[in-house]
Amino acid sequence: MKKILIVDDSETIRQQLAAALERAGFDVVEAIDGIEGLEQAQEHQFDLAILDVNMPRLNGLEMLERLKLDPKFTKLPVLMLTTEAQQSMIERAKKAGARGWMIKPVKMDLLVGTVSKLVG
Amino acid sequence: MPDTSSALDTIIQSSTVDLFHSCGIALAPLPRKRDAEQIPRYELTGTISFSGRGFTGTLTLSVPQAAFSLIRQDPHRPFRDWDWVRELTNQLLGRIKNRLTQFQVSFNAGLPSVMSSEVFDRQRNRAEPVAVYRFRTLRGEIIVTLNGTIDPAVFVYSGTGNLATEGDIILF
Repeated sequence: MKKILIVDDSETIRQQLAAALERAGFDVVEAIDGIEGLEQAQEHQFDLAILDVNMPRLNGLEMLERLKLDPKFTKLPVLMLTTEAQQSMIERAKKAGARGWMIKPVKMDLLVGTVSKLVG
Repeated sequence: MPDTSSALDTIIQSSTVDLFHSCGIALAPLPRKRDAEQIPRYELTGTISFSGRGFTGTLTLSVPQAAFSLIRQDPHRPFRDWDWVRELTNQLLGRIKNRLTQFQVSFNAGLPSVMSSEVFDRQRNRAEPVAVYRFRTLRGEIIVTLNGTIDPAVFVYSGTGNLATEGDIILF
């Protein structure tokens, strides 16, 4: 079973994403911010990570940049999920190695389709 | 060139209506007021700060408890009302920010939080909101307030917005 990491400080969003992904047959692990996300990433073997951007302690872009510094995560597909559509932020995520940028609220069938495609 | 005040009103009202529509809740905008006298007291108020050149302050979103029953959600994993309001406040400011791109207004958003009705009252007594927007639902009114400094001079209509909008997925 493919394992997905969801990092978002909103329990509502984590629940929505987890429910949709679990229904589609994925195993889901949740984290509430970038710090916890990095810890979970070290603890499990993930096939894909979904990161919120605006979070306390360590935001999603910072988490992505730290994650991609570790050669272990170079090939891990990361999708950013946020309310932001600012071009400079999208460019920063792309440069740091993200595979995609999703703007909330995202349609769950579209999200599941994208995740399925990226984890192969 | 569109009038700044009415453009901002339109952006806030349409952003709120669209956001609640995405949760399965229909909203009807009510005539806008510039004073806070008639704002009902709600237990659930989300707040988020924003800071940019000529556009600095806070946005609040108040939702009556009864409206919570209108949300489309998974009955096996119900949302916590306070977290839902906090996240909606975050998404509302995000929508407003994205729509303000066409006026070349940019700002940084803070982290959303939820405040009690007592804190909301104290904040309201300290400073009058710049604008109060009211929306009718089947279960009471939803209130959005804008507080802070909005300088009309920073609004320069360019007609070009962001490449992406809500619900989009951009793959690299």
